[in-house]
Amino acid sequence: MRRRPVAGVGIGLRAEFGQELLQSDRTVDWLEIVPENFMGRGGAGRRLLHACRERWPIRAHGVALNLGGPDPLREDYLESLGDLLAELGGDTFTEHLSYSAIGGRYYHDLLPLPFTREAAEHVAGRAAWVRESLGHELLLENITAYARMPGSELPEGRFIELALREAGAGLLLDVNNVYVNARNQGVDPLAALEALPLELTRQIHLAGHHRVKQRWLDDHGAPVADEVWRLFAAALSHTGPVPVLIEWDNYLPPLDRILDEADRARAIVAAVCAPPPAERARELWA
Amino acid sequence: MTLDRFFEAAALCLDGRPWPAGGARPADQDMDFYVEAAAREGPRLLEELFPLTRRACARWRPGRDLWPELASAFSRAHGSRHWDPNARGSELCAFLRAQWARGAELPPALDDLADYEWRCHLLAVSPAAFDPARERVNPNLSLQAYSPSILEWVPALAPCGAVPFPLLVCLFRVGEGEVRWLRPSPAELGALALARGEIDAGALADNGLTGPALREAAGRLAELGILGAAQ
Repeated sequence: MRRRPVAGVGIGLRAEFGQELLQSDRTVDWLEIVPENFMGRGGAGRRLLHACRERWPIRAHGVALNLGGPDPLREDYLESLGDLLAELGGDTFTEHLSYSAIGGRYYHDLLPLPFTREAAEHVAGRAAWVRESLGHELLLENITAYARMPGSELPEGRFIELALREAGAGLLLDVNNVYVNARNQGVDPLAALEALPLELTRQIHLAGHHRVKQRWLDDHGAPVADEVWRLFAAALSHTGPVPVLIEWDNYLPPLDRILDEADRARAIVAAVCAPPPAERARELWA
Repeated sequence: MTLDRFFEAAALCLDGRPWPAGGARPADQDMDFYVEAAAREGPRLLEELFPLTRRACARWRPGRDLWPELASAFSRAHGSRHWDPNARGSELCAFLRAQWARGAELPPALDDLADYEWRCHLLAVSPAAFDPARERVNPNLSLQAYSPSILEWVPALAPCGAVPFPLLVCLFRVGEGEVRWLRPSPAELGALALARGEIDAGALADNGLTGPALREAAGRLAELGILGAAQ
């Protein structure tokens, strides 16, 4: 399978609009899938995946690897994931800096680790092993955390940096998560963003959130908020052009609404990352 | 607190028990978010996997929806042990039978209905492919015997005429598409058993199923996508 690089702005492939997407002539640069929805499975979902693979590069964004957890990494999971990644023909795999199971019991949530050196080393060791065994570049996402875990001794940015550098992994920067965490913690979102190791960013995620009572919830069920768009532009000024994903998983609107979000992201990337005129002239001359 | 101690404490907390005394702890209100999310996840998932079972629970006794209580009890009893959250669904049928054995008042054939929905799900996502030109029998096939009471919840399975006991239902997937069902006739059952090598033609003839009837039945099963051309 030919490896097709990912660039530009993609959207998450969801069964609800898969067929409509295949009929659409609007711009979609790449697709993201949740691999657990396809691993070891056939049927209509697989048929859709194969049809989409013919048209777009597809990357897998895992949610159940339990990278930060205490249990041994599951061989059946990794084997099945490896098969799917080979089928997709990509070069990167993304997951989360979190855990989701303890003692064989799965919580099906992205749970926050304590920000300690021990936890950073623990998750980094496992991440390095996964990266090598899958033979893919590994990007790890900063998660939404609704509680700061006891014993945390490091700022989040330092914890993430330690884990990523030791794992040889890149940062999947979820800008909405930065915003939601900052709001829930009562800190400035821009300062929170700039405290992250942005130089390690290899991909950016954008999503919507809701405010329920006193809490901001990262539910991927709304348009990207204006404040998050601004934060995105600020992030791009540090990271330069990297692949961007629009995540919309709940309360799905018509497909065109999601593609409008992708268009907006593309316009912001173009505006923020456009080379200065002199550089553009040199490129044209060359 | 070491990472091992942290995970021990977090496991207790996520199962709804108090964070162990001593040492630092997260604010209860914040941890509640994860505890509540974990408690919500099981019933939400069951509802997606078993919409007919859920509806049967809601309709059986007007004014009393049994589902929330059943789904919560099941989720508490069967924590997820697999990275695929859907895998929990495999245990619902047995759970309902156990509830029944304990004397719980449940809609008739609720266990069969859960089994029917679970098998439909498994067939829908099965990775096996069927090449009718090369294979004798569609691997995405499940033949089950259900109580006729299941017709109360899945009336589409109703046959013409009297309902035999048990009610045989053949579930199968066509290609990579939808899951369908067939109420097989005796000749179709015979043709299927013959194709699967479960019986020989002599035994079928002893039961009055002879060549022409079996060939006709096999042709119909092939048209439906249950048998391949190689049969």
